[in-house]
Amino acid sequence: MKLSLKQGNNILGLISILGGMVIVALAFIQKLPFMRKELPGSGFFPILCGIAIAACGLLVLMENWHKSKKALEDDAVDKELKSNLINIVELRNFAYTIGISIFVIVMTPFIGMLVSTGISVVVLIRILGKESITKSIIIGFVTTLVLFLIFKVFLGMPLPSCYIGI
Amino acid sequence: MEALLNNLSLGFSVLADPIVLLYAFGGVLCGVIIGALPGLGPSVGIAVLLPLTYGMEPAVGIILLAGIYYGAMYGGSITAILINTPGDSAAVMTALDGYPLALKGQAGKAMGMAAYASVIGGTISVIAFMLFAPVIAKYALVFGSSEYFALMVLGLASIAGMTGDSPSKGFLAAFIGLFIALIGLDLVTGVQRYVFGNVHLYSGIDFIPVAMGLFGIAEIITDRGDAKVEIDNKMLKFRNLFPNKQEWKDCLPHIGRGTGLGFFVGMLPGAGATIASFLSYSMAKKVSKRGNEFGTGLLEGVAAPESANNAASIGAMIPMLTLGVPGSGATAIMMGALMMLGITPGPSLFMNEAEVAWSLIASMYIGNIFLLVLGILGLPLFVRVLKVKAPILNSIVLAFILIGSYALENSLFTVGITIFFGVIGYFMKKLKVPAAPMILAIVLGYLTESNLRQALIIADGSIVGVITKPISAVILIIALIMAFGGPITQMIKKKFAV
Repeated sequence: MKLSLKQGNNILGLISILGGMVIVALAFIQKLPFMRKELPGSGFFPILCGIAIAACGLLVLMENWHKSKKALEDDAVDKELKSNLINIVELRNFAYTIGISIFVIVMTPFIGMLVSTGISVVVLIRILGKESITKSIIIGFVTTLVLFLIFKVFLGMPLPSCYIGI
Repeated sequence: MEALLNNLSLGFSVLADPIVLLYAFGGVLCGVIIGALPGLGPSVGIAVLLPLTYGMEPAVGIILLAGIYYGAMYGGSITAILINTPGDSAAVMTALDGYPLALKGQAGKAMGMAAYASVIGGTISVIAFMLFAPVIAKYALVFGSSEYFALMVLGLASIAGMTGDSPSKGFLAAFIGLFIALIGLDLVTGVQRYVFGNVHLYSGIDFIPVAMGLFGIAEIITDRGDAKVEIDNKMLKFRNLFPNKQEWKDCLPHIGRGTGLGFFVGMLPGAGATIASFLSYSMAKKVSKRGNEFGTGLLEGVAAPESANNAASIGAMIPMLTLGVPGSGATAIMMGALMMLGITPGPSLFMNEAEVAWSLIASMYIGNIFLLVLGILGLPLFVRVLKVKAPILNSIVLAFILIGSYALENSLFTVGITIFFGVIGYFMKKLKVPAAPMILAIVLGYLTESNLRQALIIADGSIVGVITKPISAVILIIALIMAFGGPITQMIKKKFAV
């Protein structure tokens, strides 16, 4: 699987143009006035931001196009533009980190924040670090204990608890 | 002078509390450890550890964060010298001579010099900070909304124009950040903007979950590779950490120059410690009698950038505290933290919140002593931390981020925002879009909009009236130069070359 920086820049530019246009369109849909009694209205800054985001997207595309032309003569630029953005290790990190974070959000109302976070630490260390289950559980337990002491005992934060009160 | 000493003693009186001292020490210790971990710089450190300040007294909170900030600045040099992997970009220049010194068996001396140069640079900068900041704040008291608007444009334009490889990507990040800052209720008219009926968005998106996502989660996902840490502990023995008389004589002038340069470069929005260390190293190479030996393992090549990057980190706090305009990602997060703690940075800070401002200054003196002690005695601990595997460290940091973002508003929605911006931050990193302008824009977004609106009301709706006020006009011209100076110079050079 390959995605070059050149392709990535093109996608970024196009998404930015589209995003900028959506921001401007939404300002009109939400009836945010650009000007009100000759002074800036609620839509003044958002509309300017939307236009600026779209303009920056266009600049990114133009810069990419300019670099692509330059790449024909300059090997370093060519190499940079063709560099692959996809890294298998990072894809794995991405999937597990985001997946486990969503797991914490979903499970917190049922088993509490500290317990779900502790489980996430154990799972991540076991899978990404390939550590033994005993070591993973010990680190997960110690981490949860430290977080409990910092946030619940020391800072007095009301974290969602499970039925045993943790 | 008497007033200065009185203010300083007010600051030290806050630090007389052992708990506050403990926070200052803890901040420096955490900062050095985070700075030492490859890829994790001051911005990540402050963003991840920000939840520790929830509910704290403002003075204590900012002392802790400042300790993390300059601790991380020094920490970056540890891995730069020992394993040729700079902890953050400001330590890149340190690696050029630091690592060759380690290869020659003089890692202890290099580590020692990095600590001394950082502490000397930091301490002299604190003295300069103490003298300059109240004066700047006094003059800035005459600033009105149009001048403030211009200052914020300067902050945003310079950081967007100078961070990263491409100004268009820097500006894209800044405008997206500005847009994010506008989400929620418009405080002037009470109209909902981009809320779509979601009650969690009424009060807007706080910068903290965004910073934790963009800097923290994105860094966890990124593959930094597990650098092999094989360090001969004999090199780091206590007696090996002290340079001899001749080495001191060679290095002190570079430390002095690096400090002055770093402090002033640090004060410029967008420039920061990386540029300061680069300039200091280049200058040292030019003026040194042994300039051609730089890069082969000279202590001077460690002293010059290390003094500059710590001086720059202190200098960078001046625009943030006196004008309310941070010049870097790390200081933007610190400013946001101050606002979260109920303190508004700006010219009136030294008048209305003298205790906070002066206790911060006092803490920087003490913090530099802690830095020296840790730099000398804490090395074995930092080397041990370096040996912890990345997945273990990442898992613990992720747990801290998730609970920290929940604790901000006691809401799982905030955790979702953090994860969302973690994904965005990862893609931004891959596409080389800098995150610092986005954070700065989120912190400054509301202030920029409200100042422009106020200025327009005062000027009867005339934008020309706002931008042609003398001080505003000068600041906006500087902003234009900072934003477009680089590309225009390149274009002119190219034209003349042809």
